[in-house]
Amino acid sequence: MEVESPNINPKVQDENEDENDVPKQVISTKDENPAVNETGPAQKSKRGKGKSKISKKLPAKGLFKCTNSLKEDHGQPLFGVSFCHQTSKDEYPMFASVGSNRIAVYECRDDGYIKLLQAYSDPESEENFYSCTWTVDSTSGHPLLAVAGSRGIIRVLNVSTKQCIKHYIGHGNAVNELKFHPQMPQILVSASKDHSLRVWNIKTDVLVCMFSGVEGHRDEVLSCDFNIFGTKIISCGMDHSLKIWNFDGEDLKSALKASELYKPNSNDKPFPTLHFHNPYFSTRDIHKNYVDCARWFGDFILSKSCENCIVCWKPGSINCGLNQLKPKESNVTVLSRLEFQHCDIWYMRFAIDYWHKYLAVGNQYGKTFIWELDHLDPAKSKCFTLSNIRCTTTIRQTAFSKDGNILICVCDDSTIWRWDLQGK
Amino acid sequence: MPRPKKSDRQKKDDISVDLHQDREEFLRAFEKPTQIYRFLRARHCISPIFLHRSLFYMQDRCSRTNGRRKLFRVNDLLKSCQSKLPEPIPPHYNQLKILVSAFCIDPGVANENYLQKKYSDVETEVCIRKSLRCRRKDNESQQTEDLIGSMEVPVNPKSSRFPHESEAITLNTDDMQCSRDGQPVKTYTLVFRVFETQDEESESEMESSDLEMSDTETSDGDGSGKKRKREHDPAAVSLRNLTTGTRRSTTNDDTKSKDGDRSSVASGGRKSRRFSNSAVPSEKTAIYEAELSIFSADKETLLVDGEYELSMTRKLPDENDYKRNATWEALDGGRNIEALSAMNNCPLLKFSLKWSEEGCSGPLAGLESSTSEPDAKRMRRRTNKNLGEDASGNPASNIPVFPVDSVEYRKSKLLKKSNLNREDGNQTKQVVFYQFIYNSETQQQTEARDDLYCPWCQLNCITLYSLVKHLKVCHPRFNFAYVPQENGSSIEVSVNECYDSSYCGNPQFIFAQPGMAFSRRGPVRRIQVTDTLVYRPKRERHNLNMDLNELLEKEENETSPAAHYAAGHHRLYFHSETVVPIRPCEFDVDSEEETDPEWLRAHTTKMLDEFTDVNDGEKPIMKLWNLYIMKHSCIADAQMLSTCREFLNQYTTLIVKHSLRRNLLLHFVTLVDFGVLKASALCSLMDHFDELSAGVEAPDQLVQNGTHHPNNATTSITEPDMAAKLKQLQEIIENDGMQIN
Repeated sequence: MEVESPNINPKVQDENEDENDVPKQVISTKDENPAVNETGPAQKSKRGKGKSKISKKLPAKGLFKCTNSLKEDHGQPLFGVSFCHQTSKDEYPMFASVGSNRIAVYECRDDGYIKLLQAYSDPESEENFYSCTWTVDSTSGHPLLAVAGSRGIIRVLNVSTKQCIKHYIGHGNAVNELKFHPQMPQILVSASKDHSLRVWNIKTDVLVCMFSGVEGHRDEVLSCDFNIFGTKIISCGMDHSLKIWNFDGEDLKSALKASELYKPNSNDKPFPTLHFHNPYFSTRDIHKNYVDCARWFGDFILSKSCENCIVCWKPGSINCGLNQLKPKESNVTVLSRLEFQHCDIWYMRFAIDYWHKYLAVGNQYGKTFIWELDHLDPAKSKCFTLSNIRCTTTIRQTAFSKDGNILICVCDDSTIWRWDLQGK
Repeated sequence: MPRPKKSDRQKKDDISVDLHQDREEFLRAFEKPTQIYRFLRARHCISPIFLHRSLFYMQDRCSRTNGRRKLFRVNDLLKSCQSKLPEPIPPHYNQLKILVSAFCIDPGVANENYLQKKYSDVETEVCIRKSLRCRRKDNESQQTEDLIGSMEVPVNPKSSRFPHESEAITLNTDDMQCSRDGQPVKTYTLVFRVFETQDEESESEMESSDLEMSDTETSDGDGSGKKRKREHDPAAVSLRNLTTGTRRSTTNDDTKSKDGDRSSVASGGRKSRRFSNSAVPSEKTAIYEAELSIFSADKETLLVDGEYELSMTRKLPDENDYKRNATWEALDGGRNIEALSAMNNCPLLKFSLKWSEEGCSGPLAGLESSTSEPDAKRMRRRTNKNLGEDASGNPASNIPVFPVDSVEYRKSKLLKKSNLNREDGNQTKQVVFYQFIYNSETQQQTEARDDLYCPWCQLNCITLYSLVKHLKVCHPRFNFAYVPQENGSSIEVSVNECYDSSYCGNPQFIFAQPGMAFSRRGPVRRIQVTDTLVYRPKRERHNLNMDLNELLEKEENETSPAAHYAAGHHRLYFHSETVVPIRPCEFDVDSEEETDPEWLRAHTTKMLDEFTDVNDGEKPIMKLWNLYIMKHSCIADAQMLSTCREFLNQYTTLIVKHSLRRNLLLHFVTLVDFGVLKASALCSLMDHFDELSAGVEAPDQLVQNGTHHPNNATTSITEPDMAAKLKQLQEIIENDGMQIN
């Protein structure tokens, strides 16, 4: 009986922090914005068409107003931006942007002022960070920032002490997205190019479990997200598939519990990392290209591919609850489609604000599309377009502040754009 | 020469240009490594990862001897503690002894730095402030201030020395408890002020009140006639230092952080009480001030015996200082907590308080003289030295006392000691010439030093051997060649072109979480691991004697000193499944999967379940057989019979329970059809099965092999069975519970 071996890349780059290694091949796919299904002339014609279309169809402008923009000096694309949701209300919203081997932490002051608080750079100049996310240190209350990128090393920075407090080696290739558990601030999930998702406990430095293997992703995992209760993970990737993994199984619960109790400094046995090969649900029917972003929206899932469309769907038939899926369920129900323009390259990620009021996605030409999610019915949902004459390059990722009043977009020309919500 | 004639002026210009270029080249070659070593040194001072004195070639730095260890007994600990215990406290004291030991400035705080750069000593004044209670006007209380004494206090002293008892300032508290002059005294407060001290030749303005002068003279036991001046303008002082100060440019800024570090280390170990308070501006000349109240409103004594660290608040907010106060804004997300950080940022005044009765020197004095006798002696000698200089009116004494000077003083003492040990008295002054070779080894600059300090670390190596060894071992970015000379020794310094800054230690230390290896944040618990020392070079006998000859000869095999002593092999292994680095303690645990990983078993079962042309009886047998054969692989036809027998031995009970005999028979027949089993073997196998099945009927034995139960297998297994791992997880959870219990 022949069974395909799990696609884990056992090769591990010889990374370390202080040392200049032999030059390695850089994973440069993302730097060059590989346009999928795209040709030069088509772009131009589309552009003109798109403009007229937008102006005709969408008179509603001015939901957000551009208040500031700044450019980081490295000139490399910024791939990730993330707001710190752990700060208290009387503090200014703080966000981090990553790109090249840099990490920058900013604060959004009043009147559009963006203040640079801290900047870090990785000792390895070849590093290219793709994703960042915030959590909080459960003992000291310090905000922590997790970053990862092309070298596959996950770093955790304590911005209060300005130190890199943890690094995790294990991914065989680049890490594309990081997410923290909504209820356990020490549980981190990482989606990697090595076809796997890993769950880490950053308090005890334990690799809790891996989601990959026989039934796992067959290509790079590009995005992942916890649902609001942290009981499910959605992951998507280059294999055009979207997979839902259970995060509340008994095995996993005991693994999480054990990971809390495991003491790396006194336990001389390795932690028994669990390996889940079978997702709870898997589909390839939503998108026909790389799926580069997926987010939970209640029990629904919003996902996008490089097809100029964000799809809102749910697994199973329309009446089937999320937890009542049959073991081999293959049906999906597409609920709605949010169409927009000029976003047919991959690694473009959208953002939903904390209160699930807005959804924002950027396109290749520096435009940002915003939908109000309170009425998702395509007939009713209004699409707002944000554009600035100087913002012309690909917007890789957007992020909302916790109150939803500030939108930050990061671009390929290492510019950061701040949009503030206009009073209605 | 292309031009035979050259005017003198031109020549001069050429020479100066040459010199300038030469200097540039020299700097270019040595600047970067020097800066790196300066930084490393500063970091070492702040958070050391090792102590120089524990290095074998720095034996002279270690002032302790292990001689007492042999005689050590556990019971002695109690005795020594008991002997240290103060005598039972008499009910009433009338004398408070204040012994100010040190004034500590954090070298990292920029606006305090200049003080330390310039002064090794500051003057500390202790006043008593009486605030009188006015009955009529409650809002305005009268305050009077009496000076009770002042003393000179070293800034960031190297060691935690205790000044001699005689320097203590005593305060009579006889009349404090009772009200005086009929006017009730509300509070008595001790006010500490720190001044900058200066020598008398300074031209800057003097402003010393007569009262203070007289008090100074009376309080200082030795009656030093030194006048103290208050220095307002720090810029003037620095200018003076520039013109008359010593010409050791590297020394000044380097010693200060070292000093700061030492003192902070020293203070860490001591029990200390900390008070933080606010300043009350009263006098213009004091630069730092702090106060402590002695009695509470109920006439209770607030102060007890002990060591104190008092955070001093800066006074004198003059406009000139505006720029000095400019520091980088702390932009960390965590907001500073004022109460906690006050002790870190403010200068600290360390002193000890001692209540005693008049005339009684108290147990503290006895303790001092016995334990820290050399320190005390040194202190006295130092003041004597200063006095002597002052008396002779030596112009050199213009220079404010630098930290370096005090260090040098100490050095000479140590040197004397070491020389005595070695019994060659002619080496009182050792001159070391550093020859810096640069510009592709064609140029050199020579610098002479008359001490044995490492020029990069400002580390007193005490002996020449230690110095050269230290240079070679700790500064690999340079090449050092030691050449003895008749009037000293010379060290040729050149930049090590081969140095690639690559890490040659154990890779585990790099892959470990930050702070686990080379922790700069205090001790970390680690699992003990036994490492094997792979290669140990022969340490020759004379090494221990620290012979300089050793440093002369072997140049060729001293490529990478760290590599020789690295423990274990320089390879990092990874767990095969998770690709997480294997920690040294995990080497014994086999993380390799067998040929039948659990996911494969689960997957096999799953695939079999999906067959549609196989009936429900056949599936369990197929599963059992496939999973069995996965583990006990059968590579030749000849092995088939024995494999089948073992299969029967294991699974007969299950097969009988689910009455799958006919399916089993079908399976064997298929094997015969494929020619891997002989027909005769088939009969014997079925006989064997019948024999076994006759024996097993008891129902409780049936479910002994739960994981491979056919019923289990038929019901869908969504996740691979992770029995082994789950068991381990349970162990971790249970272990923790036991520890708590």
